[in-house]
This record gives sequence, C-alpha cells and structure tokens, in this order.
Amino acid sequence: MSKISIIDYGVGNLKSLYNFIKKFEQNVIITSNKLEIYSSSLIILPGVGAFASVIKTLKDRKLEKIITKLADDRVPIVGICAGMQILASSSNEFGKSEGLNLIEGEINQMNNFNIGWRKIKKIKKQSAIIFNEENHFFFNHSYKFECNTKYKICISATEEEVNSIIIKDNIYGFQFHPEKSGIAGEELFENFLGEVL
Amino acid sequence: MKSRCKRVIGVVIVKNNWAVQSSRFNNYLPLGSPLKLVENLDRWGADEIIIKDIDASANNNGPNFDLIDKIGNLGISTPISYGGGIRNPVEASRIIRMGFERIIYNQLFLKSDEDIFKKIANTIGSQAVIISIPSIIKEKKLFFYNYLKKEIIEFDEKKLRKIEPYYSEIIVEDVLNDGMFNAFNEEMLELYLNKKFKNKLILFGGITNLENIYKYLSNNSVEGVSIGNSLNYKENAIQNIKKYLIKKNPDIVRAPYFEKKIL
Repeated sequence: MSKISIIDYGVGNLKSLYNFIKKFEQNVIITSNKLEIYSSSLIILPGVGAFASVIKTLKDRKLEKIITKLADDRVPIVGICAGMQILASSSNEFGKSEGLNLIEGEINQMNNFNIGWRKIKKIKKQSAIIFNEENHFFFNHSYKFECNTKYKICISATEEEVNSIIIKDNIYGFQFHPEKSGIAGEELFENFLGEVL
Repeated sequence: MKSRCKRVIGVVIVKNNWAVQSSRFNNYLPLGSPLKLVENLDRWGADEIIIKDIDASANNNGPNFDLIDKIGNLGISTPISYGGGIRNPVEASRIIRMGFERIIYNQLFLKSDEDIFKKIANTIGSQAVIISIPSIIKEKKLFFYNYLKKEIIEFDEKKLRKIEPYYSEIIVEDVLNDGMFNAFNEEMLELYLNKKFKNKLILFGGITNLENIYKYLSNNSVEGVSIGNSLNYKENAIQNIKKYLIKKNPDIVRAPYFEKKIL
C-alpha cells in the first residue's frame, strides 16, 4: 500500500489533514523522520503558518534537502496553503525569506485577507485535476503565489485573482484547504490521489 | 467569475466542559456535549465553527487542550476556530496542530502589548488570528466589556489599529443582546463601520432575524454572522438561513450540498 507522509514541521493543521486523508483509507503518517519520509509515495506539506516560521522549522529539522531530493526523484509533493507557498522561490511575508524554489515564483501580500468559501475555475482543461466548478472551497490567506502562467491550473477571484492550484511536473500546490472544504474537498482530493498514487 | 461568499458561523460556548446557552455574558444554561454540537454544525453545513471556552481565561490555566484534542479527533471538514485562555505563540501553534484553523483572543488583547500579537502572527500567520471584542454602547460611544471583571472599559482603538497587521478579523460581540431574540444593536455596527477598520467584521449577539442577517451580510465590511443559541433549538436552522439568503442573492453564501437539490 502507498504511504502518504504529512510533514511535521512544528506548525500546520496536522490533525485535520491526517483525519482527512484517513477518509480515503490510505496509509498516512505524520512525521519528521527522514527514513519515513524517504520511503513515502506522496509527501504533503500542511498549511496554516507564517512563511518564515515554516521554512525555519523545516531547516531546523534538516528536512529541506530531503524534500528537494524527493522532488528530483519525481515523488509527488503537494503543498497546501502555507505548504504551497513554501514551494516558491521567495516570500515577502513579514520580511524577505527564501523558499524551497520547487516552483519558481514569489509570495506577495494581497490587498485584503482572502478568508472564506470561493469557487475555483480550471484554466488548463487538460489537467487531471477534477472537480465541480459550482462547488466552493475554503481559503484562508493574505499572501498569494505569483508565478509563470504555465504553472497555473486553477484560479479564483474575489477582489483579486488567486492562483488556487498550481502544478509543475510532480509538484502540486493548493492555495485552499481541501481538508476543510466539506464534500467538495473530499471529491477533489480523492480524484487527485487517484491520479498521483 | 468573482465569488466571495459570506459566512454563517455556528458558535459553541463552553463552560465547565459543557456547551451552554449564554445570556448577556452573565447567565448560562447547559445544552449538552460540545462535541455533539460541533458534529451537528458540521453536518448542517455551517461555514465555520467557533468554540468559545469562557472558563479558560478565568482560571488562567491556558487553553482547554483536553477539549481541543477531543474536537480535533472528530475529524470534521468544517473550518474551526478556538477562543479561550490563549497566552502565547506556543499555545496558539499547538491549537492549530490539533486540528483547528484559527485562534481567537479577547483577554490577551486587553492585557498584553504589541509584541505578543506580532509573535503569534509570525508563527501561525495573521490569517489564523481573530480578535473578539465584547462591546457596549454608552451615550452613543463604544466601550469594551471585560466579562471576567464585569467592568466597562475604554475602547482602545489605538491598540486595535497598531496591531492590525497581526489579526485578520474582528468579532463584534453585542454584550447586552447576547442570548436575546432578534436584538443585535445596529447602532453598534454603525459605530464600528464609522471607524473604517481595515480588517473585516463578524457580528455576534442576538442575531436571529433572517432579513437582518441578509442585511448585515450584504455590507462589504461584514464577513460573517455568528449565531449561538438559536441554532441549537431549531431543526435545519442553518439550512433554512442559507435557503433564505440564497433566494435573495445566489452568491451570498455557500449552499450546503444536500440543499442544492431542493433550491
């Protein structure tokens, strides 16, 4: 059975994600153990946290290089919310910080907080990400991922456009929280797991 | 494709580990298990759930981690926020790890300086921080209400503005109408709107009337209404609120799935 590792970097809504993945009858663990991470079929970088604080704990636990290595080895890596943002090259949240640079881009402040339920729109029809465009997904952020159009799969818009799903090869970023988006999130993520595992 | 749904938020007030019905921040009647209420709100399609543990600050023992753990273990798929006794970034971060998306503070705001708010935001992100302000109007002026000391104090607008980058939303709690029927004081909303805070408002206290809920949510500065007591006494309360709102404006809130077929 495939093993899914939720990376424990000290912050992030670990238990929410763990309970969510369990719903799909997957073998999932929360871990910062290098051997466990190396033997995973899918890596999840959880959300909820400030960029610099997440990157710092990743570095403190010496997990940064393992994640980069797994990315090179084509292991699927998915970042959710703050977990997506650390995939970027750099961020301006509470000062300039460097990210994992797995998807080239920059994290910049939005004009307003984007908190609540939003629809998302698929702009790359060929992508394997499947969901109902009438559904709403839960967003909770005030910084956004700005990157080259070629990585953008889905967008959402309130006052500002937000890159909701980005993909580069085996690296996936979800700006919203599928684990907190009710049945809509479950449908989307079940399809996603079917594609990547 | 612009979509910005407002939120109908269910509130569970906890005292001595029991969910209670609150009235004017003073009288409390037991309702039952908070876990059961959280499960119900999740099932009914609340857009967010707020847990407000009113003992935690009073005892100065920090957050009620035993309860937080039990709620985290429910594995609900609705965003959930916790308020009660949070003193520092370590406690805030631990609550998030245990399955909550956001934290709420009130007493901390009253007694701490700017530095602690900055540290909390630097750890969990300011999007995950909400400030709750029990408020009272006296002679057409806003005041804070310290429910622990049962005293009315000066409205510290300067401090609220100073720490603006470190929280995302303000819960405006109408103390005198808490637990009352159709009673939220619109003058209070006006006074807050006049202050033009950058961060959006969530209203709480005596909100029961559907027409008023629609009116409040239609205001650009109001992001959500939070409802406590009245949700627990009516079958399908959230569904009925949303059905009414969606009829008036299809984009104003998210429709619960099981509702879609009959709309």
